[in-house]
This record gives sequence, structure tokens and C-alpha cells, in this order.
Amino acid sequence: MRILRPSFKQLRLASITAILGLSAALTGCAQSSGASSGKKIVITLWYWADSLSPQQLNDVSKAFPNVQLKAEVIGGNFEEKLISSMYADDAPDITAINSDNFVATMVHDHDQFVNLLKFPEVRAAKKDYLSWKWNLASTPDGSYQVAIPIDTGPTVLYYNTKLFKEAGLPTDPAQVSAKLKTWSDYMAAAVQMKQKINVPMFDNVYTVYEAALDQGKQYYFNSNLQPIYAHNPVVKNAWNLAVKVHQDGLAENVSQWTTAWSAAAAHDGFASFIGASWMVPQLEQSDPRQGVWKVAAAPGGPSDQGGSFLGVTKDSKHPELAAKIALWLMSPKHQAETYPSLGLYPSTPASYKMPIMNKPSKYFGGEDINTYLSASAKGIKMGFESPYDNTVDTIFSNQLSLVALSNKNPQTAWNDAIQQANQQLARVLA
Amino acid sequence: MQDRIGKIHKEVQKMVRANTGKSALILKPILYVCLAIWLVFSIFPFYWLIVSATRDTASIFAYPPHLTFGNQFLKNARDLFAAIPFLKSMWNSLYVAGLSTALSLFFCSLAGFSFAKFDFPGKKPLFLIMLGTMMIPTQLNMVPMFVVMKSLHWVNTLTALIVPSAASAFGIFWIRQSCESSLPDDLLHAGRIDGCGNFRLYFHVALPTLRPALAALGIFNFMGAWNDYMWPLVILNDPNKYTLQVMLSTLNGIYFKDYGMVMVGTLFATIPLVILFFIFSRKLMGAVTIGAIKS
Amino acid sequence: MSKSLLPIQQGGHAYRPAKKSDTWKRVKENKSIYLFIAPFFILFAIFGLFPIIFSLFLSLHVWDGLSPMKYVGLKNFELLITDTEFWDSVKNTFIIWFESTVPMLFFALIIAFFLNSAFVKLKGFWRFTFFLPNITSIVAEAVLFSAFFNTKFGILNFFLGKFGIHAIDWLDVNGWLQVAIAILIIWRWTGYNAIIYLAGLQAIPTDLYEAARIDGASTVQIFFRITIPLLRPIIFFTVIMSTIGGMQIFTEPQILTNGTGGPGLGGNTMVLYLYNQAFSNHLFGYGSAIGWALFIIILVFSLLNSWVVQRIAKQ
Repeated sequence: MRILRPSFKQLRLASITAILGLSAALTGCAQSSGASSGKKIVITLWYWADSLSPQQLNDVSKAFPNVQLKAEVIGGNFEEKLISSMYADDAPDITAINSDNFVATMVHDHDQFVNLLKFPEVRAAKKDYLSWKWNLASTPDGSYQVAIPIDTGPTVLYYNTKLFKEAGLPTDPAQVSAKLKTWSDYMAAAVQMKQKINVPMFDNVYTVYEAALDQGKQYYFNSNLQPIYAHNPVVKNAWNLAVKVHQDGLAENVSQWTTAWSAAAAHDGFASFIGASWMVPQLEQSDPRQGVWKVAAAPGGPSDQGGSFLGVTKDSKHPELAAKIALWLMSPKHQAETYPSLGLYPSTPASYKMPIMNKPSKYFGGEDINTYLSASAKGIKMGFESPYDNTVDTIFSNQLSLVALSNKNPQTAWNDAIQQANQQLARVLA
Repeated sequence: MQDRIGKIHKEVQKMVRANTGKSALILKPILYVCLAIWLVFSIFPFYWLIVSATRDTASIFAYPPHLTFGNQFLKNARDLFAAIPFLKSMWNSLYVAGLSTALSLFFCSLAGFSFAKFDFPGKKPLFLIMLGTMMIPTQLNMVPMFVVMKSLHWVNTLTALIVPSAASAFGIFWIRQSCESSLPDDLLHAGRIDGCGNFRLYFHVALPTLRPALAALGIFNFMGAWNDYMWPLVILNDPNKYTLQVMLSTLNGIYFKDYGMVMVGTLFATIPLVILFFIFSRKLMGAVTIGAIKS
Repeated sequence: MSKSLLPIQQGGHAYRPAKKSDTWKRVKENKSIYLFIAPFFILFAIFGLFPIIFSLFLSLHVWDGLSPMKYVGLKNFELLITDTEFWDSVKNTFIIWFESTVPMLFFALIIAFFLNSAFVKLKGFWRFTFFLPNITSIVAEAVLFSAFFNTKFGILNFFLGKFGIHAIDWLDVNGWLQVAIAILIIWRWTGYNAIIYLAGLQAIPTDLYEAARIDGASTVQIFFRITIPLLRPIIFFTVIMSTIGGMQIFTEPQILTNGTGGPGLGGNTMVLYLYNQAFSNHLFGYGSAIGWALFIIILVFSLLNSWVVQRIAKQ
């Protein structure tokens, strides 16, 4: 019933509009809904490929009969496009916001969004979501909610059982989890892999850096927005680990989200990587072989990587309706349903026990990967993410790439990273 | 480098002279081999594009590579049309390129004709100002143009791609040159005696004579607009508004795992221009060389 | 009646009072002509002149497009001068320009010489196929070539492997990424320039050669005394065009590196850096400052370039 109410309201509104014709109070509304009573309200939604279920997006028009949802997949320059559409006051009604870094930027620009706490439905649903995840999309005082969580990104170890076997490493998830508990265990296994079969353990050094960084409790800034990247041991340790991986020749040097990575995954080019659950479709589509890859606990402990949000922009003519659609899409039931196909790990704990989430996966050789994902999700402790983490992280990853690919001196690269990060912050904050 | 060019030139001269002699039997093949190598370099990418468009990702990245056609073409094409509004973007490109070319031809010929055949106060400074505007690189203007488009409410519209380029200094210069070389004053006088006003003179006398120049300028303009990438990338946000080039780059960014599909998209984006070139190749190459030799 | 239509002339005749009535009469006579040339000047005022002035204004501010603008004086330019990433992008641009322009014009000249020789048959066919790469869009070209450059499974490394050359990391290592971008440019523009040179060669009358030969000139002398001087303006033109184009390289690195400029930023060209700072990082003020720096660099380099080329050609 709660779902149907807005539709009746909108229909009535539309018919009144038709009857009254030109009523000043209603023209704005009528224009945006297509100017005539027969037409549906068009709600636009932007998202990344594989970040929402196409099936559920289709079903929106069944749950909201008066709505025509135009869902658009936006490409790699999503964030750039979103900000430029906001700038032009032409943003979609609903937008996905990806990565914890970017949501921090959007919280900073929260006046571009509708405060979702305005709507009683959202206030009531707040308790259904993981509180740390929910808070990532709120202003520090908690009074302004920019977005509703989509998924979380508990990290696990994905590993190629064929290569692990050849290298004399265990292949059973429990044994792998037990053997590769820490980063030094993981590095030792990588050396063994290289010695025995000369295959790199890691896809690239950046994955190593990011995984180790995310396992920390503090990143580039403290909660007073003071930069700490130059001294934070978490950053330095992650950096050193990545450098070590490079120096020992343990990475294949293929970047994620490229054809080269897909090809390497499919051709046993690297043996493992630490990644969030949303890497499942990436892996499946890159390497169609079933039963080759399995999932174990991530060495070094649990962490959260990415995971998106859905926000309603200030440009929406139907903010309440848009918020309801977003909430409907992100209900515990729907989140659970998206998990098996897209690996989107729910932000609603009520989903975790649902049978659909705890099935053995054919792709992972019959393993129920939720065992490790849920353990990781439970252990997540978030540090502070600033609106500038994205900027700083790009600079560090570029310098790391120079070390890995062009043999730049690691110390010089580190110094350059600090210097460039300082410079870029000076530009942003000038 | 000049030394090398000199040697080559000498060789060529020798070959020319030896055309009827015996040494042509040896030199001719060498020359043809060199040309053939460059031919392969030019053409092979097109061939490989068609090959990959007919294969799935796994077999595109097989090792050693397959150099023959596969049978996945229809599947790739279906996937392409299902994944993104590809035809829409093709239409957008056609619309933008067509309309901006039409407008540009009209405004440029009108202004070029005026600068060539009329004497009016301020003509010289105005013409120099116009030429001077060609020196300004577009990149300088990119950021403020975006702001201008916002105040016109043209962000994320195709209008933003059409209007700013509706009259180009290059086009006006081009038409002026053609008017001076191919539009005799007598013809205009005759038109004047027949009672033509300025516009009718332009429309009935100048335009028909300028047809070849307009055709060349039109192809230039159309190809430029069709292939434009940076400005559409800046200004368009909604995939339904994307031009073909922006769509192609997005396709490459999102569907890198389905390479066969990306290649079909690339193929479809290339075909229209190849056809256009096939029809107008002489005209276009003529235009290119005239532009270079005249200036 | 049409006074307000023609503001340009009001200033003009004020300085020449003697001709006042005469000029004004002619302006009035040519009303329609001003209308004919007006579209260009109106469009230029809105989309050319105003943005330039506005970009100066923007470059003195910090602005992300969403928050209010903040005046910072010359801060953006100060930051730009010490911006290592910017100067790296200048360096990258020049490297790519050099690596593409020199082979491109060299090959173009050779091809033109060959095509100009008397006995080459099917001239139309060669011209057509050599020009064909030029009509494909740079986006399509870059998408296609990015598959060629794949380290492990790319066709280029496969062929190189046949000659015993070890697999090259085309898109990841800075130096190779720059070569890869240069290859794209060479592929696209060599035929184009060859067609231009060919036209230039064909324009040299053959009796000029014959006359020189009768006078006893050797082929080398003919080449340097006749061919090069006569071809000079055309070589000059192609160098200038390649310079202007080369300084503005954007699409090739943008597509090949998914917009990042490459893992080590080797493909980060000046314009790509401008684009990323302005539209990815939303630093509109800083982006405008880069735009001005770019304008000055292109201007100075083009002038320098034409000076050098003219001197070389004169020798």
C-alpha cells in the first residue's frame, strides 16, 4: 500500500492538471510529467554497469505503475558527468554514487542533493542499513542524508586453484585462509609461486597497495581534514609492501578494468588478488572457466572497498517519488536478490540470512563464498574518508605505477607523490 | 635528412630515366615493394577491424592471433544494440554534422561572397579580424565556453555542438578565395542589370558557380563535425545525447570485456565515412592539396 | 534608420570628418552586406571573444562550478609554474610531437617521390588507400589500436615476436606509450601529407628539369636547386600544421589510457592535463590558467618553429 499511494496521488494530480488546464501552481508539475494526463512520470536514473540489477530496474514500472524509469549506464567518466550535469542544473532524478571517496565529495556538496531525512519512509528505513555505511553518506552532524546505501565492499582473497595447486599451495578455502593469514604469509606464498611455476601472485602493485591501505583505520586525512598521508604509517606500510612486490617481481602489472586484466585472468596470468565482492562479475566475465577460482579470507584482515549509494538530486521534480523508488530498489529483499548475479554485497544485514545469499556457487567450484564475505563484512572498521582522498589516491597510484612499470626509484616516487599531493591540494583549497 | 632525400630522389630520377632500360626490371619491383609495405600498414588495421568484429573476445585475444573471419558478427551486433543506444548516437552525429554543415555552408558562402565581391567601409579591418580569430586555439576557450553554455541552458544539448561552429573563419576565407578565382565580375554585372538585389545575386549567380568549392568545404566540415570528440565529451552528459565518437569511447570504457562488440561498434562508426570518402575522394584530396598549395 | 545596426562604422567616420557623409552613404548602401557577414561576427563575439575575456577572469579564481567563486589573484599561475605534472605534460607533448612529425613527414616525402615517378601505375588506387586512414575518426582509430598494443595478446607484439623482439609493454611504460601515440599519428597523417607533397611535386613543371639538365646540372643539383626550393612553402606548411596539431594532441592518449594519461602519466599531454584538471577535478580556474599557458606555449613554439624551418629551407 505504501508503494501504491504515490501513484494514485500523481494520477489525480495529473488529471486535475488536465481539467484545469493552465493553473499557475501546477504548470511546473505538469511540464515535467509530460504535460498531459495520459503520460507517465519520467524518472531518470544514472548508474554504472553491474552496479544495479537490470531486472529490478525493469520492475520499477510494475511497482510504480505511473512511473517510466529511464535508467542509463554511464561510463568511466561518471563522476565528471554527474558534477557537470549538477552544475548545469540538469542532473538525473536519481543517481548512483560510487566509491567511498566520491560519496565524501558529494557529502561536501550536499546541497546538490535532496535531504532524504525529509521523507518519513527513509527515516523509518534507516535502521535496516549498516550504520557505518549509512553514515558515510551523511553530513558529520547526521542531519543531512545525501544517499541510501546500495552495497558494501567486504574484501576477500580471490585465487586461482589451478595455479595454487601447481605451486604446491593449498587449494581448499579454509586451508588457504589459515595459511595466508598475514601479509608476510601472503608474500612468502608469492615467492614460492614464483620459484615453482614462475607465475606472479598479484595482478598489479596498486591492488596490493589499496588492499593494505583499506585494512588500516586511518588513510590520507584525519577527521579534522588535516592531511596525514606523509606520516601515516598505514600509507607508508602499504606503499612499502607494494614496492616490495614490484622489487621481487611478484606482480603481472595488468590494471583492473582493462582488457589486459581480463585476458590475463583468463589465461592464468596471475594467481590471486584481494578484491571486494563486486569483483565477482568482473572475474566471471573475464574468465568463463568454472571451478578455477575460489574465495578465501583476505590476508591482513577484513576491509571495505567501494560499494555504492543512491541519491536524489536537487534537480528532481519529484523528489519524494524518486526517494521511494530508490528505497524500493534497495530493500533488503532486493539487495539479497542482486547478490548472486552481480556480487553486490548487501548493506542491509537482514539480507544476510536469506537462503538466496547462501547458495553454493557453480563458478567458484561449489563454494558458498558468503562464508568469507560475511565474515569480512562483520569485521569492517571504517576510517575517515575525506572529500580529497580520491585526488590524493590518484597521485599515489600514479607514482606507484612509475615504480612498477618504469623502474622509478621508490624513494623518489614517494617524495614526488607527497609533493604532488601537496600541490594539488593547494590548487583545490587555494 | 636532406642527404637521404637527395639519394632517394636520385634513385627515383634514375628509375624514371631507366624506364625503358634494363635496370627498370630491378628498380621497379623495389619501388613497388616499398609502396606495398606502406599499403599493408595503412590497410591492415581496417582488415583486422572487420576480423575482430566477427569474433568473440576470447578468440580476438587468442595466441597466435586469428587472421580469418569468425562467425560472431550477428551476435556482436545484437549485443551492441542491446547494450547501448548506438543507433541513437549515430543519428545524433548525423544530425549535428548535417545541420552544422548546412548552416556553415550558408553563412560562409554568404560572407565569403560579400568579402570577395563588394566594397564596403570597414571591409579590410573586418576581414583581418576574422583571419586573426583563426589563431585562437579552441582549448583556451573550453572552460569558459562550458560556462557560456550553462547560461544559455545548452549544456547536454546538441545545439551546443551546432551553433558555435555555424560560421567558420576558415570557411569564409575559403569561399572568398574561390569567388575571386572562379566568379567573374561580368556575371555579377549581368545579374545586376537583370535587376537582382544583393541576396538574389548571391543566390542565383554566386551559389551555382561556387558549387565545387561548397562541396569540398561541405565534406571538410561534415567530417570535422562527425569526428569531433573533445567538445562533445565536455558538453554531453546523457548517453541518449551522445554523438558517435563519445558513444564509442564510452563503449570502449564500459565493455572492455566484450571486445567483439566494441569492434562492431567501431566498424559501424567507420563505415559511413569510408562510403563518403569512396564517393568524394577526388574532391576531398583535391581540397586538401589546394588548401596547402594556396596558403 | 539603420544607425543602430552598424555601430562599427560610427567609430570609423568619426575620425574622418571630411568623408563623413560619403562613408555613411556607402554604409547605408551596403546594409545588406553587413547583414551577410554579421553571423560570423555575432557568433564569434558570443563563442570566441567573450569566452577569452571570461577565461582571464576565471583564471584569477578558484571555482569548482558548484560552490561560490573565490578570487585568488595570480595564485593559479604561481601554482602552475611550480606544477611538475604540468611541465611533464609539456615535455610529453613535445616528445610525442617530435616522434610523430619527423617520421611522418619523412615517409610522406618518400611516398610522394615514389608516386610521382613516371611508371607507377594505378596512381588513383595508391592515393586512395594511403589517404584512407585519415578519414577514420581518431576515437575509432585509438580504440582499434589499443587492442593492437596489448602486451600479451596484441597482434603487434606477435609480429615483433616473429622477428625475435621481446614483448613490448606499449601502454604501460611511459616511453613506449609515447611511441604508441606517435604511431597512431603517423598512421593517420602520413598519407595525408604525402598527397600534399605529391601535388607540390606535380606542380613543378618538367621543362624546368629538362632545361637544367641541358645546362649540365646533376640530379643532386637539380634536387637541391629546383625541387627543394620549389617545394619549400609546402614543406613549411606541413610542418606548421603538424606543429599546431601536435601541440593539441588529446584524443589518442585519452582513449588509449582511459583518460588517465597512462599508469606513469607518459601519455599525459598538455590538453589532456587541461581537460582532466578542468573537467575531472573541476578546477575551472586552474584549468583556465593552463589554457593560457598552453596558448602562449603554442604561440611561441609555432613562431620559433616557422623561423627555424624558414632558415633551414633557405640554406
